[in-house]
Amino acid sequence: MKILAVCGLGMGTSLILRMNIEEVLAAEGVSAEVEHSDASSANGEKCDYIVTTREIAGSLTNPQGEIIILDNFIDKDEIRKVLKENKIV
Amino acid sequence: MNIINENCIALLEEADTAEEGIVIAGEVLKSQGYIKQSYIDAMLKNFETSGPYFAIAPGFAMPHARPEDGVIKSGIGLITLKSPVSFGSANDPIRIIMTLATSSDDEHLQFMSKIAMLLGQKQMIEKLYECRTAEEAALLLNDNQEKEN
Repeated sequence: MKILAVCGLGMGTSLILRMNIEEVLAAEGVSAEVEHSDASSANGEKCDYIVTTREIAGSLTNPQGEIIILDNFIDKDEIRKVLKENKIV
Repeated sequence: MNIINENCIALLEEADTAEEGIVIAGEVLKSQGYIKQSYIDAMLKNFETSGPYFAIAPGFAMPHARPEDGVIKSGIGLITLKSPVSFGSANDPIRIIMTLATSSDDEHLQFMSKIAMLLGQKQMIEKLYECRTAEEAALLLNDNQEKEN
Protein backbone atom coordinates (compact mmCIF):
# COMPACT_ATOMS: atom_id res chain seq x y z
CA MET A 1 0.00 0.00 0.00
CA LYS A 2 1.26 3.42 -0.91
CA ILE A 3 0.02 6.66 0.66
CA LEU A 4 0.93 10.05 -0.76
CA ALA A 5 0.88 13.13 1.53
CA VAL A 6 0.38 16.17 -0.68
CA CYS A 7 0.72 19.94 -0.20
CA GLY A 8 1.42 22.98 -2.37
CA LEU A 9 5.21 22.94 -2.54
CA GLY A 10 5.86 19.37 -1.40
CA MET A 11 8.30 20.54 1.27
CA GLY A 12 6.98 21.61 4.62
CA THR A 13 3.35 20.81 5.14
CA SER A 14 3.32 17.46 3.36
CA LEU A 15 6.48 16.33 5.16
CA ILE A 16 4.91 17.03 8.56
CA LEU A 17 1.81 15.15 7.43
CA ARG A 18 3.90 12.24 6.18
CA MET A 19 5.77 11.96 9.49
CA ASN A 20 2.52 11.99 11.43
CA ILE A 21 0.89 9.40 9.18
CA GLU A 22 3.96 7.17 9.56
CA GLU A 23 3.76 7.53 13.33
CA VAL A 24 0.07 6.59 13.43
CA LEU A 25 0.62 3.62 11.09
CA ALA A 26 3.53 2.39 13.23
CA ALA A 27 1.45 2.72 16.40
CA GLU A 28 -1.32 0.72 14.77
CA GLY A 29 1.11 -1.88 13.46
CA VAL A 30 0.27 -1.23 9.80
CA SER A 31 3.05 -1.16 7.25
CA ALA A 32 2.70 1.09 4.24
CA GLU A 33 4.90 3.17 2.01
CA VAL A 34 4.32 6.86 2.75
CA GLU A 35 5.71 9.57 0.51
CA HIS A 36 5.22 13.31 0.26
CA SER A 37 4.97 15.53 -2.78
CA ASP A 38 3.66 18.76 -4.21
CA ALA A 39 0.30 18.93 -5.94
CA SER A 40 1.57 18.94 -9.53
CA SER A 41 3.87 15.92 -9.01
CA ALA A 42 0.99 14.10 -7.33
CA ASN A 43 -0.94 14.15 -10.59
CA GLY A 44 -0.39 10.82 -12.28
CA GLU A 45 1.72 9.45 -9.42
CA LYS A 46 0.75 5.84 -8.73
CA CYS A 47 -0.56 5.36 -5.21
CA ASP A 48 -3.47 3.87 -3.28
CA TYR A 49 -4.39 6.95 -1.26
CA ILE A 50 -3.73 10.68 -1.39
CA VAL A 51 -4.03 12.56 1.90
CA THR A 52 -4.28 16.32 1.51
CA THR A 53 -6.22 19.48 2.33
CA ARG A 54 -9.55 20.44 0.86
CA GLU A 55 -7.99 23.19 -1.29
CA ILE A 56 -5.28 21.00 -2.77
CA ALA A 57 -7.72 18.13 -3.37
CA GLY A 58 -9.77 20.43 -5.56
CA SER A 59 -6.74 21.31 -7.66
CA LEU A 60 -5.62 17.74 -8.44
CA THR A 61 -6.37 16.98 -12.08
CA ASN A 62 -5.19 13.38 -12.34
CA PRO A 63 -5.15 11.70 -8.91
CA GLN A 64 -4.31 7.99 -9.07
CA GLY A 65 -5.42 7.10 -5.56
CA GLU A 66 -8.46 7.59 -3.41
CA ILE A 67 -8.45 11.11 -1.95
CA ILE A 68 -8.67 11.56 1.81
CA ILE A 69 -9.28 15.12 3.00
CA LEU A 70 -7.77 16.25 6.26
CA ASP A 71 -8.08 19.65 7.97
CA ASN A 72 -5.66 19.17 10.85
CA PHE A 73 -2.22 17.82 9.88
CA ILE A 74 -0.78 17.65 13.37
CA ASP A 75 -3.53 16.05 15.42
CA LYS A 76 -2.71 12.35 15.41
CA ASP A 77 -6.15 11.45 16.76
CA GLU A 78 -7.74 13.07 13.74
CA ILE A 79 -5.27 11.36 11.39
CA ARG A 80 -6.04 8.01 13.04
CA LYS A 81 -9.76 8.70 12.63
CA VAL A 82 -9.58 9.35 8.88
CA LEU A 83 -7.26 6.38 8.35
CA LYS A 84 -9.79 4.22 10.24
CA GLU A 85 -12.69 5.59 8.21
CA ASN A 86 -10.85 4.54 5.08
CA LYS A 87 -10.01 1.13 6.58
CA ILE A 88 -6.27 1.74 6.31
CA VAL A 89 -5.75 0.98 10.02
CA MET B 1 20.64 22.99 18.55
CA ASN B 2 17.98 25.52 19.46
CA ILE B 3 15.05 25.32 17.11
CA ILE B 4 14.14 28.98 17.45
CA ASN B 5 16.01 32.20 18.18
CA GLU B 6 14.22 34.35 20.76
CA ASN B 7 14.75 37.39 18.52
CA CYS B 8 12.64 35.75 15.82
CA ILE B 9 9.53 35.77 18.01
CA ALA B 10 7.01 38.62 18.18
CA LEU B 11 3.89 38.35 20.31
CA LEU B 12 0.43 39.90 19.97
CA GLU B 13 1.12 41.57 16.64
CA GLU B 14 -1.61 43.41 14.79
CA ALA B 15 -2.62 42.29 11.30
CA ASP B 16 -5.88 42.85 9.44
CA THR B 17 -5.36 40.26 6.72
CA ALA B 18 -3.61 36.94 6.15
CA GLU B 19 -1.13 38.70 3.85
CA GLU B 20 -0.23 41.23 6.54
CA GLY B 21 0.29 38.38 8.99
CA ILE B 22 2.60 36.55 6.58
CA VAL B 23 4.62 39.74 6.03
CA ILE B 24 5.02 40.40 9.78
CA ALA B 25 5.99 36.78 10.41
CA GLY B 26 8.50 37.05 7.55
CA GLU B 27 9.93 40.35 8.78
CA VAL B 28 11.05 38.79 12.08
CA LEU B 29 13.23 36.36 10.11
CA LYS B 30 14.40 39.02 7.67
CA SER B 31 15.40 41.47 10.43
CA GLN B 32 17.63 38.79 11.99
CA GLY B 33 19.33 38.00 8.68
CA TYR B 34 17.72 34.62 7.98
CA ILE B 35 15.96 35.50 4.73
CA LYS B 36 15.87 38.11 1.99
CA GLN B 37 12.80 40.14 1.02
CA SER B 38 12.39 37.81 -1.97
CA TYR B 39 11.49 34.98 0.43
CA ILE B 40 8.60 37.01 1.89
CA ASP B 41 7.42 37.77 -1.64
CA ALA B 42 7.61 34.07 -2.51
CA MET B 43 5.53 33.10 0.55
CA LEU B 44 2.87 35.61 -0.50
CA LYS B 45 2.96 34.29 -4.06
CA ASN B 46 2.58 30.73 -2.78
CA PHE B 47 -0.45 31.79 -0.75
CA GLU B 48 -1.96 33.49 -3.78
CA THR B 49 -1.29 30.50 -6.07
CA SER B 50 -1.93 27.51 -3.85
CA GLY B 51 -4.26 28.86 -1.17
CA PRO B 52 -4.16 28.43 2.59
CA TYR B 53 -3.15 24.74 2.69
CA PHE B 54 -0.32 25.65 5.08
CA ALA B 55 -2.90 26.45 7.77
CA ILE B 56 -2.37 22.97 9.16
CA ALA B 57 -4.14 23.04 12.49
CA PRO B 58 -6.89 25.07 14.16
CA GLY B 59 -5.59 28.61 14.59
CA PHE B 60 -2.15 27.78 13.22
CA ALA B 61 -0.52 28.59 9.86
CA MET B 62 2.99 27.73 8.68
CA PRO B 63 3.78 29.72 5.52
CA HIS B 64 7.00 28.92 3.69
CA ALA B 65 8.67 29.01 0.27
CA ARG B 66 11.59 27.19 -1.32
CA PRO B 67 15.25 27.39 -0.20
CA GLU B 68 16.18 29.06 -3.50
CA ASP B 69 13.59 31.81 -2.92
CA GLY B 70 15.97 33.70 -0.64
CA VAL B 71 16.99 31.73 2.45
CA ILE B 72 20.29 32.99 3.94
CA LYS B 73 20.33 30.52 6.84
CA SER B 74 17.76 28.11 8.23
CA GLY B 75 15.41 29.34 10.89
CA ILE B 76 11.85 29.70 12.05
CA GLY B 77 9.93 32.83 12.93
CA LEU B 78 6.93 32.92 15.20
CA ILE B 79 4.26 35.52 15.75
CA THR B 80 1.00 35.50 17.62
CA LEU B 81 -1.81 37.81 16.57
CA LYS B 82 -3.73 40.05 18.94
CA SER B 83 -6.84 39.59 16.82
CA PRO B 84 -7.04 36.40 14.75
CA VAL B 85 -7.36 36.74 10.95
CA SER B 86 -9.02 34.63 8.28
CA PHE B 87 -6.84 32.69 5.82
CA GLY B 88 -9.87 31.19 4.06
CA SER B 89 -9.06 27.85 5.65
CA ALA B 90 -11.04 25.24 7.56
CA ASN B 91 -8.63 26.03 10.40
CA ASP B 92 -9.64 29.71 10.61
CA PRO B 93 -9.34 32.02 12.43
CA ILE B 94 -5.53 31.96 12.52
CA ARG B 95 -3.81 33.36 15.61
CA ILE B 96 -0.32 31.87 15.36
CA ILE B 97 1.92 32.15 12.30
CA MET B 98 5.18 30.24 12.11
CA THR B 99 7.34 31.06 9.11
CA LEU B 100 9.71 28.39 8.03
CA ALA B 101 12.95 28.96 6.13
CA THR B 102 15.36 26.15 5.41
CA SER B 103 18.49 26.34 3.31
CA SER B 104 19.21 22.71 2.44
CA ASP B 105 17.36 19.43 2.17
CA ASP B 106 19.21 17.82 5.07
CA GLU B 107 18.61 20.70 7.40
CA HIS B 108 15.06 20.89 6.21
CA LEU B 109 14.40 17.29 7.20
CA GLN B 110 15.93 17.81 10.65
CA PHE B 111 13.91 20.96 11.25
CA MET B 112 10.68 19.44 10.06
CA SER B 113 10.95 16.37 12.23
CA LYS B 114 11.56 18.57 15.27
CA ILE B 115 8.67 20.86 14.39
CA ALA B 116 6.35 17.90 13.72
CA MET B 117 7.28 16.45 17.11
CA LEU B 118 6.74 19.77 18.91
CA LEU B 119 3.43 20.55 17.27
CA GLY B 120 2.24 17.01 17.88
CA GLN B 121 2.40 17.58 21.63
CA LYS B 122 -0.99 18.12 23.21
CA GLN B 123 -2.02 21.74 23.66
CA MET B 124 1.23 23.08 22.17
CA ILE B 125 -0.60 25.67 20.07
CA GLU B 126 -2.67 26.85 23.05
CA LYS B 127 0.45 27.00 25.21
CA LEU B 128 2.28 29.07 22.59
CA TYR B 129 -0.60 31.48 22.40
CA GLU B 130 -0.59 31.94 26.15
CA CYS B 131 3.08 32.98 26.20
CA ARG B 132 3.50 36.63 27.19
CA THR B 133 7.19 37.07 26.40
CA ALA B 134 9.38 35.94 23.52
CA GLU B 135 11.71 34.34 26.06
CA GLU B 136 8.87 32.20 27.40
CA ALA B 137 7.86 31.08 23.90
CA ALA B 138 11.47 30.29 22.95
CA LEU B 139 11.91 28.21 26.11
CA LEU B 140 8.71 26.31 25.41
CA LEU B 141 9.95 25.32 21.95
CA ASN B 142 13.65 24.80 22.69
CA ASP B 143 13.23 23.03 26.03
CA ASN B 144 10.60 20.58 24.94
CA GLN B 145 12.80 19.60 22.09
CA GLU B 146 15.76 18.89 24.37
CA LYS B 147 13.66 16.73 26.66
CA GLU B 148 12.50 14.65 23.74
CA ASN B 149 16.05 14.04 22.58
